[in-house]
Amino acid sequence: MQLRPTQSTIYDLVRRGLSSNTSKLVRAQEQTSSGRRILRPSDDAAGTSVAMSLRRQIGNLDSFVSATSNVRPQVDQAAARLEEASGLMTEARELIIQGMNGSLGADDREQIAAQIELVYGRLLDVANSQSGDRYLFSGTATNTRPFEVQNVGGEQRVVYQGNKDAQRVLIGRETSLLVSASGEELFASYDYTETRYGSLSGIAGGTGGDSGYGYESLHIRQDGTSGALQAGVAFSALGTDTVVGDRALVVDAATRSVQLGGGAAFPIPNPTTSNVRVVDENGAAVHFDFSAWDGSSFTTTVTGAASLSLDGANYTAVTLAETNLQLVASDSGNVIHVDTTGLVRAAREQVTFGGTPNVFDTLQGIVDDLRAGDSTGRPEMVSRIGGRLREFDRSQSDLLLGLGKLGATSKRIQTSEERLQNLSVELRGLVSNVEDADFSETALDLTRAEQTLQLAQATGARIIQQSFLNFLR
Amino acid sequence: MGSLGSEIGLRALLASRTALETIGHNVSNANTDGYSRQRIDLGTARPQNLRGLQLGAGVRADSVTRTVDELLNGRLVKQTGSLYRLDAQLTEMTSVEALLDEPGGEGLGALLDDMFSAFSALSANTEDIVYRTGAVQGAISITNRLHQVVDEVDQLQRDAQAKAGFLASDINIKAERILKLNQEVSKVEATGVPANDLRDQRDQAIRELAQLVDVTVREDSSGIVRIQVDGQLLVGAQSIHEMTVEAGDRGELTMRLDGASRPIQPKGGELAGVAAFAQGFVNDLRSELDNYARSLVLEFNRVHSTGVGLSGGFKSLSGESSVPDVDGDGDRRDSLLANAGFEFPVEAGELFVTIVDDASGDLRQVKLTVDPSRDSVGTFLDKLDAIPELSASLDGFGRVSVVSESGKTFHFGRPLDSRPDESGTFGGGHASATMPFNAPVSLPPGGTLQLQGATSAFTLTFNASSFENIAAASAEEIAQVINGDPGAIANSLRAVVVGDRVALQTGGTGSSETFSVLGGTALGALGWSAGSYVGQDVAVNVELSGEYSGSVNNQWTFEPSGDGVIGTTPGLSILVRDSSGALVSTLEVGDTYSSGTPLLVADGVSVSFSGGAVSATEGDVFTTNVIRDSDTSDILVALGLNGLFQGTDATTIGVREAIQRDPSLLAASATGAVGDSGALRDVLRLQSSDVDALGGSFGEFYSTLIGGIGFEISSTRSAAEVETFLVQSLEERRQSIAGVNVDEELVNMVSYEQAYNAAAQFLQVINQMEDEVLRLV
Repeated sequence: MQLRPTQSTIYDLVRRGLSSNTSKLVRAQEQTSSGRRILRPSDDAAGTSVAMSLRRQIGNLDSFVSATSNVRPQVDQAAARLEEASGLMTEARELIIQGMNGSLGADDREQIAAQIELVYGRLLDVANSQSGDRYLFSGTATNTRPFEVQNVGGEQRVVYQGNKDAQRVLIGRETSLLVSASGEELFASYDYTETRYGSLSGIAGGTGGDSGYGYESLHIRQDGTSGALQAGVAFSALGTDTVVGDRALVVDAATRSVQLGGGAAFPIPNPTTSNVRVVDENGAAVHFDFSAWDGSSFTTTVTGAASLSLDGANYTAVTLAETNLQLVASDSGNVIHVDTTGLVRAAREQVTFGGTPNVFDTLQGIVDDLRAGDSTGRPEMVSRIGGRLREFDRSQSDLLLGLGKLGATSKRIQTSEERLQNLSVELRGLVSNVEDADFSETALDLTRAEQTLQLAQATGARIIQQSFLNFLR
Repeated sequence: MGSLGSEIGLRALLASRTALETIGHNVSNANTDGYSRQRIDLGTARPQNLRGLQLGAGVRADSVTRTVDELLNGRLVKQTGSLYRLDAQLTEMTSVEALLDEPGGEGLGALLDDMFSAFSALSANTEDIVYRTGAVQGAISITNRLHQVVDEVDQLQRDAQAKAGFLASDINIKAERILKLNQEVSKVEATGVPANDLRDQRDQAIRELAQLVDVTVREDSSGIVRIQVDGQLLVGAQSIHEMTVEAGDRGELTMRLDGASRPIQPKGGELAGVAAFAQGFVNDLRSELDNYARSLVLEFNRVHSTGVGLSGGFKSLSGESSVPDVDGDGDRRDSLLANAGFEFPVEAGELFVTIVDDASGDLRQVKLTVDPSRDSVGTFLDKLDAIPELSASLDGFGRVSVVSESGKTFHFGRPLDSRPDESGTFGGGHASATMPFNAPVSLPPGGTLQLQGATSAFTLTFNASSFENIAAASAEEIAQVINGDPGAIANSLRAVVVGDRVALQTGGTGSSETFSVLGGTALGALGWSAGSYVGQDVAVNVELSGEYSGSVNNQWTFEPSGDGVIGTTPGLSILVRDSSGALVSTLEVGDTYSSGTPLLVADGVSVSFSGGAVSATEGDVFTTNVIRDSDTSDILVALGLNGLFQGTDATTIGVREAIQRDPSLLAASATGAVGDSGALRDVLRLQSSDVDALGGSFGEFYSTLIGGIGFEISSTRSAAEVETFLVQSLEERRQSIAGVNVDEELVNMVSYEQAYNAAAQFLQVINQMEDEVLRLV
């Protein structure tokens, strides 16, 4: 049926046209001014879901970034502190090398010792460094000062107080990154070797498991020399014998010399004296009284008895046949097992337990060695410092290893941060694709809406002006 | 003859005049709502038989009728109802949409991401109180936003209910008006004249009523309409049945018509739209928000309750939730956990309690099994209370309160016990003999065990009375008997429990410590081999490190493969088994092992041994718990212990007040170490992990919710657009029939004006004719 137009149909039509075009214009204007295509979920429900899911992914990434960007300064700070430590250790190493020079006088050694002590102090500061309130090198026990000087078994030792755990942050749903290194790993890394002994006395490790930490002194005491001496020669009580075990003793009247084991031949003084020190190839000494020598030659075997002690108090006599003799230090509780079959002379041997002491103890030991240089004897001092230098070098490489790890962590944080940020930017781009208005399109929409509205206004004005009335006159 | 002419002329004048008046009425009502164009029906007057002819007697106005299509009006009424329902719904829903502020605004989605971001930042700086405050604020923002949304939604719901009330009174006014018009129409039409304008007014009132509520209209022969809503009479012939609306607490709207018992359910009109919004949409949204909030509480508290705050474990801890007295007998302790009325259910599972010694930092883990169908609130508390360092009770409000003894703290974290062999049953210094298999064991009642200690030989007796069931004696029960025996005490022999085994050992350590197992009737069942046992001077030190990354809780048992010295005996290995007895790992600790080197057991946990002798013959063993979730029973959540959130739905959810006051209580650590972020990492995993109750992650659920609302609104909008179009086209058709076209009226007016002039002219001619005749007279 042909619709019969009426006044109100016409007016309604014009009104509707104007209002729908105006709302189109408003919408286009809204999109242009906000720059967004989806202003409320109902504008595009599917698009909203997509945009929200993308935003959620961005949120996930952002929270990972928030962890990494917050942790990176700490990692970098830790790495910087370790580099400082590494520099200090290089400095210390030079000083140690200087100190190993056996010809140094006590004053020079004291000076070097003092310098090493300074380095020690600075290194301890570094190891205890903090970022804000947190200790950088105490594992996850970040409120605990990692290295404390404590009295352990009567000695001042630096003891690690932190734990072995490392702080972690999540950089992916199932990926966590270790962002700290424990101080133990860096400065007190257990390097589990066997118990080591000094090389003076010929003592060696037994088969049993040892238990101890740091250093001990093994006292090898000479308990008297015996043997069937002839020709009026006797043992002298005027010197301290150090020989342990059996030695051949040759008194040769023809060369007027006396020889112990494979040692050099010593001339018998003339006139004879009551204290002739004879040393064997190992440096073990026996003192003889030649004052009543009748001048004849003889050959015999002298035997030095010995007993061992780890604490200098409780001595265990040895038969030199023990392959696994257990010694316990009553003060520290340390336990070692020794093989006495190679024992040749009395000495105070330095026992280094498996599990190196930390770098601080090593340095402290070197300082002590330097200061006690004269009483220990220079060759022994040099040998001791040499041993400690090897430990020190190991500590240094542990530190460098830790530094390398932290550097790698920092790098990894950086790359993952970059990756996360790139992803995030990419996702933001996708969100923008979904959510944001395409400016050329909205601008076009806006112009189109404007023109349509103007057209509607123009035509509306024309239509409503038309009336039969205009012509009735 | 003359009179007929005058008659015709007069009639013509009158008819044209009436027609012009009708046109005038039409033109004046061109813009009146609901006005129907009126038309004058002209007919010829009754012809007269004159002079043997039948002469036409002129024109006669028969009636004034309105042009109307009743069928079309009916359809319009119906369609108007659907349009206004959709429109009302749309208006209400758009306000919800606006308050959610999505997408891209500061809605819940963004706040949730912000919170996770703050937690993540905290995981990098667990000790920093600023970051802690940030994380707590993040959580508070979420709860505040939830409250705000729920409040606003509630307000919208109440507004909608109030609006329904206004609509009902509007409906009553319209109904009253229709009733009045009914009476007027019937009065007028009783005289046989169609009541055009009154009918127009009534039609208009009905259309307006249909905008408010969908109606069924029936007109009877006397011109009276009866109007029904949902099958019940609203407007009758004599009276109206007033509509009343009652509003309920949760958006319910009960609409009744006076005198009817059954409430009505309008399907169209604004009232239906408002009711659908208040009763359906808002409640759906609310229950989704409640579900979301409830899941937040449950999932976050699950993780948080097993975490440890900045200051370490607790000295005392109180639950947030009261245990209800379900059976009303005044005793809250007697109901089973399964039906104790907790907001969050308790599952069958286990709870690990860690006791920390403040001074030494040593920790002890106690595993409690929780079976909600067997354990009551009371028995659970007793289990907690049975831990020597703790006392647990219900306070006056029925909240659980746990207090530790001085010098100890406790938490529910999952630290790895770095020194798992505290009792020294694995190559320890004590002389020790450990059962080679797990309890429970079947002991002969009255069975004996003969031992030779340092000072004397003695015989232990296992009486059935010391056991719950001697045929299934537990390790704890056996140890209790041994430790209570005077002979054992005199010889300082003791029993310790390692996992589910009993180890018999001397009090002291060292190679001088010794005891012998001589025999006895219970010996076979206990598995100790007869012989003498000697302690050792060098104990094996066991150290665990790492973070357990397995997916389930387990207990690992470490046993040597044979007798030997770690680091020395070729081929010596340590076998690690899980709680089901399956081999987890075989660790080579023979001559190739340098003592102290950490060996990876499995799932991120490493173990190191110092050198020393271990013996399979003596049953050397140690166990350790590797924990993924230290509360698989969710009892901590149910009791509200150490949660992050409190409350159960979107209205009540809040960050636990203690944490708001003191952000250091926020649990970041899973192990108790300050720098550990295990609990935070678990929280962060919630950002993308699926939550059962939500059918997706928090974010997914929320976007689905928003997307759903958007979809609902946009589909309602397009439905409304379709309806608008339909109504418009019907309206156009109505207009095309009933509307006034002024031009048309003008044309008619000109035509009637000319007819009037012509009639006047005709009268004049007749008049002159008569005059002419009169002059003849």
